[in-house]
Amino acid sequence: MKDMMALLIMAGFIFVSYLPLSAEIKVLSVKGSVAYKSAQKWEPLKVMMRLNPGTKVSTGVASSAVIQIDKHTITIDPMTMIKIYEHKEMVKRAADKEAGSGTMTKLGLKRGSISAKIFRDKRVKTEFQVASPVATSSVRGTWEKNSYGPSKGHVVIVKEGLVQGENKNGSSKYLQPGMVFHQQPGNSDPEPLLADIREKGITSVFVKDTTTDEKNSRGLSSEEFVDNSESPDEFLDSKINSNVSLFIIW
Amino acid sequence: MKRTIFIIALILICAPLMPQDSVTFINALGEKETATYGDAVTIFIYVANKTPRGFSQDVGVLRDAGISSGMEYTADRPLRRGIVARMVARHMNLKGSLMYMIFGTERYAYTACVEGGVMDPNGSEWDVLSGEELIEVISRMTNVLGGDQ
Repeated sequence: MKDMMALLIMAGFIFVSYLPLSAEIKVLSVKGSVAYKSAQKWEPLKVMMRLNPGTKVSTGVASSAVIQIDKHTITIDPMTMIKIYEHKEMVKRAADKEAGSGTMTKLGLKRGSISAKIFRDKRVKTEFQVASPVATSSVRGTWEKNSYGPSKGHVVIVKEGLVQGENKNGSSKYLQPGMVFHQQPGNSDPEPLLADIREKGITSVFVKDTTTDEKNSRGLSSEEFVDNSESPDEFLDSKINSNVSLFIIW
Repeated sequence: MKRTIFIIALILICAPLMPQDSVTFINALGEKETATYGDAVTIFIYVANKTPRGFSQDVGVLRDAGISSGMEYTADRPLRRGIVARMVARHMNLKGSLMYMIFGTERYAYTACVEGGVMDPNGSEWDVLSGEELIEVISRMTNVLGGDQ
């Protein structure tokens, strides 16, 4: 009988140690018209309210909310709808060194944009995913902004840390701060990571001896230079020595 | 007692007529496969930080603000990208397209919106917008006006 009891207690201990603990989801601030839906009906969202996984949060025009999921802070921008799919905390079992402790958070982004500041403890495995209908971002770093719309698609802007963006086909890209992941609906691959920077770069290239006034008026930008030649071939075939100074701020 | 019942009954009857808050409107709009001109008018009223008072009054407010002047559409008319582009271009006072500044048509308003980063170039002014697409356009418009990326 004693053996049976000891066995039951041990089994109970092992079960509890693997049990995902539902950590706290708390509303920190609400501005304007914000609602949540946990069952069938939308209700007004209020400060200091506790939410459960499975809850949807929607913001109106010129409205926003900040929620705290465990130690992560999520800012929900105007005209956004998210769903908190799950948030669980895995506790490390003292007897088993292979079983790691950590947190897993999954959000769904139906429309609009959110900024997520992820708390990261090096001793704890932190997984934070934001999924839209076309892609998923997985945060390994600390700060990102996600937005989704049916025309624009899923855009991830990394502010700090490392983020993985992956579309529904499994095509993924790793992003560092300053990079933008952009998956448009209907495209098989995400846009090039530096497309945004490249576009800005091309318009900022000037030929040597350009005066400040000319730079300011963009009178001799590279685009203008190409356009002013009689034909693109003529410009491309001509061989000119040129000095190029390249400053990469990264 | 009778008076209390009468007041409660009156509130229940009038509840659907009371103005919706913006989140209720946005959630209902998000479910629509086809947005209407009436939806665009209502969302612009919310953007102007006003409370919708009905289609005719709201159109009057937008007409006074120069957003819907010259637009004689009914509330249930399916919303084309060109219509909302024209409203957005007027609201933002877009000047990125010379052709829009000269002609002010829906076609060039769409071009101006593409230049302004509010719409994508892979569409047409004739596209009929869904509720989600209208929300996306307005969201991008407010982001651009607010200086967000």
